[in-house]
Amino acid sequence: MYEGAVQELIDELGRLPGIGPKSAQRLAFHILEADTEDMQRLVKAIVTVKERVKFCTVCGNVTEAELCNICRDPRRDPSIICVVEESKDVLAVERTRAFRGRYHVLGGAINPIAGIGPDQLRIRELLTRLNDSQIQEIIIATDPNLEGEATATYLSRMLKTIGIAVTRLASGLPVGGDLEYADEVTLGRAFEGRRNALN
Amino acid sequence: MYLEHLSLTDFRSYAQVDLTLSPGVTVLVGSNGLGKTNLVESIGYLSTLSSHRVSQDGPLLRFGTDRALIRAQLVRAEQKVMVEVEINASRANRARINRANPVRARDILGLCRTVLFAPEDLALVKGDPGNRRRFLDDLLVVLLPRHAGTRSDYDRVLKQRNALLKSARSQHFSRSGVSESNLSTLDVWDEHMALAAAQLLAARLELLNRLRPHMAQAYAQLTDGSKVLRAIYRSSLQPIARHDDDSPHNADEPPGGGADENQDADDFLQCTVAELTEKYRTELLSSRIRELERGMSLTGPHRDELELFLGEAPVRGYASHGESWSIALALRLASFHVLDEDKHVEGNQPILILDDVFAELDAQRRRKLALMVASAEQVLVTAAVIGDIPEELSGSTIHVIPGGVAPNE
Ligand SMILES: Nc1ncnc2c1ncn2[C@@H]1O[C@H](COP(=O)(O)OP(=O)(O)O)[C@@H](O)[C@H]1O
Ligand SMILES: [Mg+2]
Ligand SMILES: [Zn+2]
Repeated sequence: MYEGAVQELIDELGRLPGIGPKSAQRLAFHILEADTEDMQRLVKAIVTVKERVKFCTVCGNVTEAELCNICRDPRRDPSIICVVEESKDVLAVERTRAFRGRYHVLGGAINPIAGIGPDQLRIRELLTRLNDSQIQEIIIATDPNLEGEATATYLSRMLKTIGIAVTRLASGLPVGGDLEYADEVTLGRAFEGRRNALN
Repeated sequence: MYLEHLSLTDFRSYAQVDLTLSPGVTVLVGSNGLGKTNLVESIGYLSTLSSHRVSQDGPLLRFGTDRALIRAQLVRAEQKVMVEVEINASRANRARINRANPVRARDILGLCRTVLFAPEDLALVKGDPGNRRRFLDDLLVVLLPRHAGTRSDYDRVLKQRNALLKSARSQHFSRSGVSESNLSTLDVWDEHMALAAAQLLAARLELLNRLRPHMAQAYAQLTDGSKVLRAIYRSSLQPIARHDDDSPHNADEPPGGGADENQDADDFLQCTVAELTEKYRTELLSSRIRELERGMSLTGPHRDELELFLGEAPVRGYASHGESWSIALALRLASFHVLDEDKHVEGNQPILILDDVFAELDAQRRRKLALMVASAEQVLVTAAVIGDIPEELSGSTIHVIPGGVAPNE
């Protein structure tokens, strides 16, 4: 245990994802020894992000405005929605340039071990969006792992009753991984080869 | 195949050890506690990605270190393959093949094939059903590496579904009942569970079908042949499973009905995975209330049993100590033969590892076992005293000394 402020910093850093106690300690001492100016820039970046960045009220993607860039862009096809788990997946799909529609960010996947069920995800918001008769197709692009698949099954079953075309990304994505780790070509192909989710 | 070179870094008791081996029989001798099992355990790990002694990787890391390295140079049908696995305390294990870029550890399964005999094998016979399920699943993954996915998918679905059932359990007993969203989520997990369960069951039955003739033959050869070793797979899909611990027998049933001791899951061998999936779907639906009451999954391969018989008598609780050892050996020998007859793979014959087993056997069993394994492409044997090794298994000797092995004489 270190004294007051140092330990407090270690504890805070240790709460970040992927940071164990050892890394937290290393980061804390790096911060201690670093240029004051550099660290003030870091603090400012964090504060700004927390003040300015919000979640798009329509799709749930990160944005600095009420609506994100994609929801505001009139050139994007409003008839087709790609459902992803996280904002970082929006970036992954955008990189492929294979998709010109809009997104819906769920905020995770169904994961009972982590206490996440449908009610903890932005599924109700998705249903509300579907009242808009412009929407004709939903592409489910959850991660190619078990929780992602379960979420996709849940959504396909629920959407079946609404009468909108529901498609899934074609297989060929590396199984067990994250969408964001798929390379652009593979992910692009998965979009082009998407198939009806209900059979 | 055979192992030509083994190098361990921070694995168990070894900071660094290097071992050069040749085909044929090699005996590793050294007094107890010097690290003989540690050496062969690492070879077994390359084959199944798990230790035969502990269920977690933690104890494999040398005290005070957070990364262990196993590196092996294998020779398969005259082709050299370098396989390397890194066991990490705080992140995912990684592997490399022929010094290429790191891949997932799982990607090396099937490259190094071993069959390991150990004193712990007695638990295959005397222990709870989990030991025998693990026996089947470990062999499955070495034989058909794609089933590593089958197995881990099932484990993962099971954990998720159990977590959901556990949290729905309290709702089930409350006045408002299980919430709509929990019920529809359960439907989804049922669907994924049915598919994963069907795949695992089909794979196990297919494997057992291949094992059976070899088991019976190996047991006959190890003994005087007067008793026949049989295996019966009991699936929770069969009617008998519904009469487990908590539901009373139906009074209308004839005595022993549904619990016929010859009832086997063999019928399911003819079923496609799609048909088995459908059976699991039905079964999951009909056991839903019981599962909600218990807050856990009651149907699926995780509850199945591979029951062993000598003639008509069940092995568990009946077989003598000597018989139990012969059965354990027969299961391992059968594994060897199933891998050996698998001609899809070049250099398919597994490396045989006999860790300290001769000390457990009487003179006659020692000799019979020795004769049955002596002709394998590579046999690695450990013993505290060389006198425990029957003459039939003569070969080269490596002396294990504190912290390493003695230089070749
Ligand atoms: N993770 C570890 N770090 C350091 N030493 C270990 C570790 N695991 C086991 N050992 C030591 O290895 C020895 C046992 O080695 P083992 O191979 O089982 O012996 P044997 O030669 O009898 O087969 C014990 O002394 C034990 O303390
Ligand atoms: Mg030992
Ligand atoms: Zn948006």
